[in-house]
Amino acid sequence: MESGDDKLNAQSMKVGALSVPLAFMLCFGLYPLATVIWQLLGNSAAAPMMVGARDIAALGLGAGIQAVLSTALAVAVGLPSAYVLSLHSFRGRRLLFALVIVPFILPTVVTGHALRGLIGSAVPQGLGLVLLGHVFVNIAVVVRFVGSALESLDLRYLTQARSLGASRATSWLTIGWPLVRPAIVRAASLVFVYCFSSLGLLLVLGDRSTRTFESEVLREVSLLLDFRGAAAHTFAQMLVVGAALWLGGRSRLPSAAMSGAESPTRLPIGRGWSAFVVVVGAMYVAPFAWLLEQSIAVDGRFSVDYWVTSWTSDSSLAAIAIKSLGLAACVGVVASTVGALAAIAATDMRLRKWSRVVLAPMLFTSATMGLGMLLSYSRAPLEWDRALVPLVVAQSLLVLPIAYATIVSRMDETDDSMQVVAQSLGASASRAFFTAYGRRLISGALSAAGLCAAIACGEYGAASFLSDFQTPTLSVFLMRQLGRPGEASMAIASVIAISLSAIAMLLLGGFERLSKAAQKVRR
Amino acid sequence: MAPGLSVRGLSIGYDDWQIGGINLDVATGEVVALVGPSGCGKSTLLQAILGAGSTLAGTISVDGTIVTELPIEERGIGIVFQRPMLFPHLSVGRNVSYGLERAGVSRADARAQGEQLLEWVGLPGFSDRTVETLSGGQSQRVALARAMAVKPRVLLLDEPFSALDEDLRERLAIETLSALRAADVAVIYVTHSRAEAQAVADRVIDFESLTRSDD
Repeated sequence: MESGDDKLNAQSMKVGALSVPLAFMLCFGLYPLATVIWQLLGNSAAAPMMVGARDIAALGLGAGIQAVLSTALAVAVGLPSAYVLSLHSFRGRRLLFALVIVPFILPTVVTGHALRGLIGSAVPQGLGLVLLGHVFVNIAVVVRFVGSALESLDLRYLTQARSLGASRATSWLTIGWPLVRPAIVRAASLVFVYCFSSLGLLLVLGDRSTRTFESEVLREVSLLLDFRGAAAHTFAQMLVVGAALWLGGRSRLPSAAMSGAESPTRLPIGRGWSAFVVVVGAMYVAPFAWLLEQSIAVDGRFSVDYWVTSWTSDSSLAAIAIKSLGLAACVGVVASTVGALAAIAATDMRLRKWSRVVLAPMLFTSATMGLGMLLSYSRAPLEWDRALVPLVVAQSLLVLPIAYATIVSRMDETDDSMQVVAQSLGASASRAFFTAYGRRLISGALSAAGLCAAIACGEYGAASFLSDFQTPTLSVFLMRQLGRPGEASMAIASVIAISLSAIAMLLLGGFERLSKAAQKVRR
Repeated sequence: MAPGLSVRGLSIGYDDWQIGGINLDVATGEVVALVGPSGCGKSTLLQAILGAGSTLAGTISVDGTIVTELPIEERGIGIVFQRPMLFPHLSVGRNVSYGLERAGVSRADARAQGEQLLEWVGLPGFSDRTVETLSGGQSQRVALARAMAVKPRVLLLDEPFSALDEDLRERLAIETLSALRAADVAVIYVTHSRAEAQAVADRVIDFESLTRSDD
C-alpha cells in the first residue's frame, strides 16, 4: 500500500522536476518575450517605428491569404495520401510514408533549394512556388495527424452505415470523415501556423510580394535596424498564431469511435490508388534526385569535384559541418532533458497543466526567439551574442514542444498501476516511478533528442540572428551560397544541402538507435 | 427456395485460418441462435454473410436471390454489433433515420418513422438526445431500431447484449427477439451462452456442427 509519506515523496519529486522547465521557460522564454514587448510598448520615445498599424494589417492579410491557400492545398492532397497510407497495404508503403515525412524534418532551405532547382524554370519564384513548397512540406502534418486518427477509427462504423444502405463513398462522407474531422482541423491549424510564420521556404521560393511577419522581422532587424517595428510584427504574429492554435486545440476526437486498434486490417490497394501512390512517390523523389544530380554534374559529366572543393577549401564545409553537428546534438540533449523533466511532472494529473507551459514556444517562432535572445542577453555581463550558448538555448526552446509531446505520448502508453504494483513489492516512490515509466521515459527522451537535433540542424530563423559570421551554421551557410550567382554556386549549394540533410538524418537515426536499445527488455 | 437466408458451401477465413463447407438456412420469421466458444469464427461468419469479410467459396442467398457478389448496401442484411456503434456525431433520431435518408426518404418523414421505431423499442421521446447520454441497454435498443428502420430481410445480432448485466441481458434478449419474430425477418443471434440461446431462439445451432450440416 502507498503510505502518506510515499505520496508526498512522489509529488515532491515531480514538483522538483517541473521547477527546471518552468525556470527555463521563465529565463529564456518569458524574459526575451517581455523584452520584445518592452521594445514595442515601453520604449516609444527612443526611436520612431517605421511601420504603422495599416502596414501590419496589410502584411497580415497577405500572409494570411497565402497561409489559407497553402493549408487548403496541403489538406486537399494530404487527405487522400493519409487515407491510402493508413488503410491500405501495398509494396513500398513504409518507404512512401518515410518519403512524405522526411521533407518536414529536413531543413526547409534544403527542400526549397531542391524544389526551386527542379521546377524553378517552369514556375517563377513567387506565390505559386511558395504554395507548392508549403504543400510539399506540410502534407506530412496531415498524413501524421489524420493518418493516425484513421488507423484508430473503428471501421465497423462504416460497415454499419453500409448495412443501412450507404455506398462506400457515402459512408465515408457521412460517417468516416465527420469522425476524423477533429484530426483534420488540428492538422489544418498546425499547417496554417507553419505557413503563416514560414521563413526558410519563403526566402528561397518567394519574391518581394510574398512576405510573412517572420521574414519582415528578419529584414527589420538585420537591414533596417528597426527593433520596434520587428517587435510590433512579432506581437501581431503571436496573436494570429495563438488564435489558430487555440482553434485547432478545441477539436477533440470522439473517443468512443476510436478503438485504438494496434494493428489495423489494411485493405489491398485498387488500380486507381496505385496510380496515386506512384505520382506521390515520384513527386517526393524527384527534387532530391535533382539535388544529387546537380552536385555531381560537371560540364556534362559526373564528377565529385564540387564535393572535394567544398569539403577542402579555405572556407571549409568540414568545419561548419562539425560545428553544426555539435550544436544540433547539444540542442537535442538540452530540449529532451527539459522536455523529459516536464513529462515526469505530467504523469501527475494535478501538475499536468503546469507542465504544458513548455508548449508555449509554439507561439514564438524562430525569428522572434532570435530577436528576443539578441535583445535580452547581448548586454554585459553575459554578452551572449559572441557565444554558442544563446543559439543552443533559442533553438532548444523552439523545439521544446516537440520534445515534450514526443516524450509524453510515449509515457502515456504506460499502465499507471505498474507503479502501485512496484510499491506494493517494497519499492520506494521514486524507484517505483522509474520501474513503471523509466524505459519509456528514456527511450522517449532519446527519440525526442534525435528529432529535435535534426530540426535544429536546418533551423534558419534564430540561427540567422545568433550564429557567428565566420563559422555560421550549415543552414545560414547554405542561404549565403544560394544568394551567389552562377552554376558552380548552385552546385556547391546542392553539396551543402545534401551534407546538411545527411547530418540531420545521421542525428535522427543515431538517437533513434539509442532509443530502440533503451526499449529492449533487460534479462 | 424458401424466403429467408440460405448459405451453401461457404468457406471463410484468412491466410492462416480457414473453415469451409458451411451450410445454413434461416427462414423468414425464424430466430436461429448460433453458439460456440469465443474465437471459433462466429463473428467471421456473420461478417462474410454481411459482405464485410472475405468469402473464399460458396453462395449466400437472401429470399432466393444470390447476394454473394453484391456490396453490403445491396444485400438487404442488417447487423447489430456487440458494441452499439451509434454514430457519435448524430442525435439518437438521426441515427435511427440514417438508413431511411440514404434510401431517399425526406428528413421529416424519416424523423417521423424514426420516432415510431424508438417507440417500438421502448424509447419514446429519445429522438433529440445525444448518444452519449444513453445507458448500455438504451444504446443497444437504438442500434436495433436503426437496423430495423431499413426493413432488412435478414438481421444479424452479434452478441448484442453481452456487455450488459445478466438480468438486463436476459430481459432485453427475450423482449427483442419476440418483437423481431413478428417483424417478418430472418434472424441469426450469436451468443456464447447456450442457456440464453435456448431461452430466446426457435433453433440452436452449434457453430462447429455447421460444417457437417447437410440441410
